[in-house]
Amino acid sequence: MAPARLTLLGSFGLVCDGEPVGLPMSAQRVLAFVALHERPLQRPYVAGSLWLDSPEERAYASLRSALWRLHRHGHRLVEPEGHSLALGAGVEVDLRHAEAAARRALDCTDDGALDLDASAFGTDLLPDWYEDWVLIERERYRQLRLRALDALCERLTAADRLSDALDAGLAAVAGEPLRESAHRAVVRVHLAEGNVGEAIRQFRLCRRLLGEQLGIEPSERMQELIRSLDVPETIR
Amino acid sequence: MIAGAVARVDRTAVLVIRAWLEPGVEENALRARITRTLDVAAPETFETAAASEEEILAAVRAWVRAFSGSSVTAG
Repeated sequence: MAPARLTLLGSFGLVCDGEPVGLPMSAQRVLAFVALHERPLQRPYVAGSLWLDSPEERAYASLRSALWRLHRHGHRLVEPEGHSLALGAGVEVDLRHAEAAARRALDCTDDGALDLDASAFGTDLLPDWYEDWVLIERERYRQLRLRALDALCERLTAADRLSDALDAGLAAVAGEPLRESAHRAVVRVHLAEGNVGEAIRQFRLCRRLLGEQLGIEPSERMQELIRSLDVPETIR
Repeated sequence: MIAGAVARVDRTAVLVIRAWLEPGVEENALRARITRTLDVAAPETFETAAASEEEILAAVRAWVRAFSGSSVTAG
């Protein structure tokens, strides 16, 4: 049997034997919850976490029902291990691949990481889910992804792979447009390319965003990057 | 990062504060993006940004007031 592919980045998706599988929301929540933990989970913990407002017996019944719905397609997506539940051995989770890529980008000794594409880090985890267990995991992965993009941009700039560095830098800016450090990294890539006009354009974008949304000016460090250019002040 | 939730039996609102200290900035390095919804069942989200403790606290107060006010009228 081909591995099942579970998508948690961007939106929930499940593909089994090459075919998309639709699941009811209760089954999606159980599968996502178990997939986000890399260890077997006690059934009471799963039931209590997913059906917080329900009495214990009702929460167990909801969990049993969700597991039945999850398995009625014939795939062992969640394996019972005694009183615990664990992700099925044949289930691949996109988040795990993206996390591994991000950790490689942060590992300065891993030169092969420079060949990673910025898209390898995916996007936000289940962005339209609002439960506590998703919120915390989403923010944890978001921070890891942004740090990885920053690191990749910096490492690629140092390796003089400026086009790839620009992709990583712009992805970091898109991830959080108010992070000045990401804008600075993009300005430095443009300057390394000798592209003064694009550097100034990125500086102006940063200044506009910070001014409009935070009411502040770019830092002295950012302004110094632009002041160092041999261009009249009026076009900065 | 701070995540908060105010729960009722029938309504839940969520506020997420993504806060960071801007590297390479000596003074006033605090930044935050605040994402809020007043009802996760119909999640229209709103985003604001803040660059000071006072602005963050003002956004949290406004969210709590909006949620409790809308809960009273909805209940």
